[in-house]
Amino acid sequence: MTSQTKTKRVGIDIGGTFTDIVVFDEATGEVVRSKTPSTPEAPEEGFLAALAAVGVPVEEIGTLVHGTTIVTNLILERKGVRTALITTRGFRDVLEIMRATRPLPYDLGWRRPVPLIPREFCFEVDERIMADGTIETPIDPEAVAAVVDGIVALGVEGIAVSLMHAYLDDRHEKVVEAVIRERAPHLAVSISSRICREIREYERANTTVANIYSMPRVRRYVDALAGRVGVPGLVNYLSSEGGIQAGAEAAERPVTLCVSGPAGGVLGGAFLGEQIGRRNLVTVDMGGTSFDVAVIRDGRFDIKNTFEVEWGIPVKTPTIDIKTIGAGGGSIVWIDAGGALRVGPHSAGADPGPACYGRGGTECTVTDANLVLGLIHPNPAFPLDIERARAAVGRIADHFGVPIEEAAEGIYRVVNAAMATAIRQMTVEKGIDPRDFALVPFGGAGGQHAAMLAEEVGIPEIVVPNMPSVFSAFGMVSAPLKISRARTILKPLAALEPGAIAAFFDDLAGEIDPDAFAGASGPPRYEFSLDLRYVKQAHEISVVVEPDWPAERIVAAFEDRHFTLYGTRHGHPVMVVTGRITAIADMPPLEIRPETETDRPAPPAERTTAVAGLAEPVAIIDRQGLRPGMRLAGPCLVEEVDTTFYVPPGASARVDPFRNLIITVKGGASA
Amino acid sequence: MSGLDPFTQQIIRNHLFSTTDEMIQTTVLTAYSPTFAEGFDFSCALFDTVGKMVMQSRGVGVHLGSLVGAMQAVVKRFPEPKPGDVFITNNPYLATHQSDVVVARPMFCEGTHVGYAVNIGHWTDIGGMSAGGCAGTSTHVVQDGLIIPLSRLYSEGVLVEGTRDFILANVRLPEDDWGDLMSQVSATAIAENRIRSLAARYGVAAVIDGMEAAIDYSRARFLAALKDIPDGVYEAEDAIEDDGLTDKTYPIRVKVTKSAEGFLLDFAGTAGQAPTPVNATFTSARAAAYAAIVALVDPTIPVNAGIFDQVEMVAPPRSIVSAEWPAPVYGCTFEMAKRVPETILKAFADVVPERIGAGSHASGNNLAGRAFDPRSGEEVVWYNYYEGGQGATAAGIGNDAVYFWGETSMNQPIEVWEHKYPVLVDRYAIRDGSGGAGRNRGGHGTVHEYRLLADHYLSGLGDRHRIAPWGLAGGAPGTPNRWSIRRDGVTEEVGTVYGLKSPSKFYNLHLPAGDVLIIETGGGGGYGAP
Repeated sequence: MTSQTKTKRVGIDIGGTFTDIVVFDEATGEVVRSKTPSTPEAPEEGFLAALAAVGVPVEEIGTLVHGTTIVTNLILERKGVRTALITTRGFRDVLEIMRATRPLPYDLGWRRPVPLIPREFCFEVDERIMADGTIETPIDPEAVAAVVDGIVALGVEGIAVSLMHAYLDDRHEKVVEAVIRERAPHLAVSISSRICREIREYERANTTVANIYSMPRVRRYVDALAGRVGVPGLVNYLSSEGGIQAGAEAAERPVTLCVSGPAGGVLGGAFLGEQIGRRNLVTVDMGGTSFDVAVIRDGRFDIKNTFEVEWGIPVKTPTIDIKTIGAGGGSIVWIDAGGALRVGPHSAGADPGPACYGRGGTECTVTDANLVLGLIHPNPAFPLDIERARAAVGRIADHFGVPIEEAAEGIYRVVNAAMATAIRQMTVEKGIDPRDFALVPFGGAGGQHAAMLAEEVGIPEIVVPNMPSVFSAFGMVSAPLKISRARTILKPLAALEPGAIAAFFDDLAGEIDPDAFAGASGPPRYEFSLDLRYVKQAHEISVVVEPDWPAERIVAAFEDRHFTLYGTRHGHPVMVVTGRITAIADMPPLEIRPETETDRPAPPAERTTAVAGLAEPVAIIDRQGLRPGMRLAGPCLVEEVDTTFYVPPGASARVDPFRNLIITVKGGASA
Repeated sequence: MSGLDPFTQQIIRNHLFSTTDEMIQTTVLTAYSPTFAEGFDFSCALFDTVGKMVMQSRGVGVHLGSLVGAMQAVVKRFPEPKPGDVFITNNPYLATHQSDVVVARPMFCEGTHVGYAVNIGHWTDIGGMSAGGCAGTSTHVVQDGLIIPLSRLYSEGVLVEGTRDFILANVRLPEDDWGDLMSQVSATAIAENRIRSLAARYGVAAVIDGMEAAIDYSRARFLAALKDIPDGVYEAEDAIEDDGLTDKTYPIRVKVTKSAEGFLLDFAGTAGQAPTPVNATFTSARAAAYAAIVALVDPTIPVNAGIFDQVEMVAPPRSIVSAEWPAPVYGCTFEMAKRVPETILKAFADVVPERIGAGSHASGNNLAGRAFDPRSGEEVVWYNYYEGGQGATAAGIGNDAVYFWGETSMNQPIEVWEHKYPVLVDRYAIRDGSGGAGRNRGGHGTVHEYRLLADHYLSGLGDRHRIAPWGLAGGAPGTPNRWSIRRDGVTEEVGTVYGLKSPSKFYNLHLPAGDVLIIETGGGGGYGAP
């Protein structure tokens, strides 16, 4: 993918409001960025506009990685295509029944979400594999053909196949697949043993269904982009686990793209950590509607194996472990029926946006409170209406009978506490000591809260990346190639022969095409993990292993993890539930050249402002004027075009050789 | 009133809720039985030092409300708890049936007792005459299982081995039960840690103050919401349809007096206690009543003592909703837990029909099986309860296939189930047509067909197999629950096959391998004329 002329590496992150682009030039080490409006009706237009905005000719691009919300949106908005499901006789209602649960115990008015495939498009075939792998009823291709013909007549675009216990034995599903390919070669097909080879019939079926439901539209999008860009194979996609996937793989497994955008931010954090020599980071992305937390420990982030696109609609695919709560700059502040202050989860979004945007929004949001507090300021590129903000916050203040500033401060504290809890859940509560970590804030609203979060959680240092508002796109540029496969084993560890695990991983590795790594800087390395539990326990824990580990070592690693997470070690026999393999190949390293860090004074303040609770005016400093080696003392505000960072009293900051802003919070170790 | 500013109150309240949520996660992820880990048949809550509920998790309403009785007993029996103590009980007259084991840990911050973290969950086996519980025709409470009197399980951090050994010697699944118990203990330990970190940030006094503020907050919301329901006296009646030994029905009568202050629920005229486990203890019936009141008034209010204090229940002594020793009460968590709230809501059918739903399948349809698994040769015990149709409401159709009433239980995946037990599930489907007709139809129940791969001993305890779920505002009733056996090609109801008095209450029936047990759950009633 790279040669002398093709020196540009491009990341494009299409979000709901903006399309972010970052271009890294391998020849010069130069980084260019831009932010252009998204075009939700035809995302490829926004994509091309972003490319045009940075003026990079396609011929110069060596690698292009694209993060997209297309799959999540198709599912959330139920805008996928008409598809059908084929299941085992007796189980066609698997999508209707879901897990038979409800989110709130006492709510009589709740209605369950609409399944991705309506009941009349769910069909059964005679066949049955038992839990021990025995074939109880063999499959009859002719009977399957009759079912497939009936489905074809309904005018569907794709068929999902999810048969009972197919994670143990994929032969029946492959028979169904072959029949579909023969009878209806124009249809898309997904079989569960290929998309999600794991136990639990609802989750496996729903994952397979989510895949087929989005596949035809994703394929059209992939093809459209490829056609418009004009270079076959140029556009790659970022998967939920933070790896580059070729367009063909993404179109075959669109369900792996559900968390594509946020994954970019975590990758950015991992890259930043490498750049500045920090192995432990907490990344926090606070945008308009949500707050995402991820942890990078010893240079790695955790992968979880299930993701809930919405309540009751799970997909089981490897996903970077990101915790999301509904707290963002646009989160609406409201008074509930008990008179208490609530923040979110509803958001004013980008349109109408916070009251201070002056686009017709009147409800009080976090951003309005931040404006009242003096933590953000209008600038020519981003005008903000302080009077509208005061009116919105004023209504909250009136309710409590307190001054407007005090209400704004209360809002700020409540939202900070909610975000701090999310960070704590990802660190302390998983046995991770945040004092060894640095906080990496990005997204439009992150900078106003980061210092308070760090203090609240006990993180001593904040690293504000050089380009926080396009950080996810930046992460995409740094992404490695990555492909994962998993398969359920479900045998007691003691029952496995020595060497059985190594043989299993060998076999599983065969599912990964080595040619997929052609563009990388070297051959892929493989990472292995086992989902383990006590034999009688129900849920498993993913533990990183090596294939040649003896059983005792696997047990010890599992029990250590169990103790860290839950505080108990049972000493009972261990069950191997699922084996996972990930092949990772790095792209050539991104070499951003450090500048020389020389001690020099901070630039003079652009202007000063009042910040609620502080007696003296606070300096506002333009980040563009900052150079490596400059030091700042809190309180001050560092302003960019689209975001502002608050350095509170007692904190200090310096600019590192990569122009990252390193903030040492009050009580933190000196940088 | 709390001295905390309203913002700090909200921060503490959010923290308390996220703490109960983490207790749930810890329990699920470490538990052994599918009952806990897949079915979520457990609940968590935080209490203050005098035993008032402060915050509850998602979970099972009848568990949570019943903890009120258990915690009052804990406070009385152990007036001076020490850090590291953990108490345990399953005395049914303090809470619910014996299968639900209560684990309570006093929480200490900087040496100060600030409250309790409590987990109540359903153990798959608790000893007694029937493996997995659910003996539909037991006639004495001790037959339903081991009774663990309120005891110390840990004393200042040290396991009381005698208590543990005594319990585990009296159950059929000591390893599973121990795994589940450890998950409960871990959950309470996690909660104490979380409350300590809250205290470290805001101070111990603020935590205590914030807990009381959480109760005040719920009370304020509850009282405000009461204004939308007309004051008055409303009555309704329903019944338990048989006691398993005879055809006798047991009426449940309630007179609800609604005022600006809350509710008085008078069960005068309700049948006396039955000889069999269709009874409820007073504590569990009151818990079920709380669930109805919350659903009626505002299901979004965090449930705690602020609501409970506004609901008073009275019942004649030794009635079917206030059973006393030695009446068996096994069914209280899944029959009375559904019948009591539906009866209370039915009293409002002509007053605020838009706030309630039609009757639901309203039975746990509890079944328990025991077999020797031919794959391993080991004894296995399973217990399951089943989702069904929800009653329709003014706003929409009733949900098909949900766990209902007042709970967030989940089904157990069939693939997991088949690994664990010698049962092949031939069918798991929506039971078409079971929801009652109406402007909005009732939700449909489900059908499970279990092909038994080994001889089974089967016990069952259900109801609503004869009396159909009621329709509302002119809607038609739903179809009742039904259990059948297909043997040698002939399908008949279980009661018919075995010549029983009851279709839904029996003990230790022998079903030979090859039988197909068919569990059809009822549909909800419809709303409005069809």
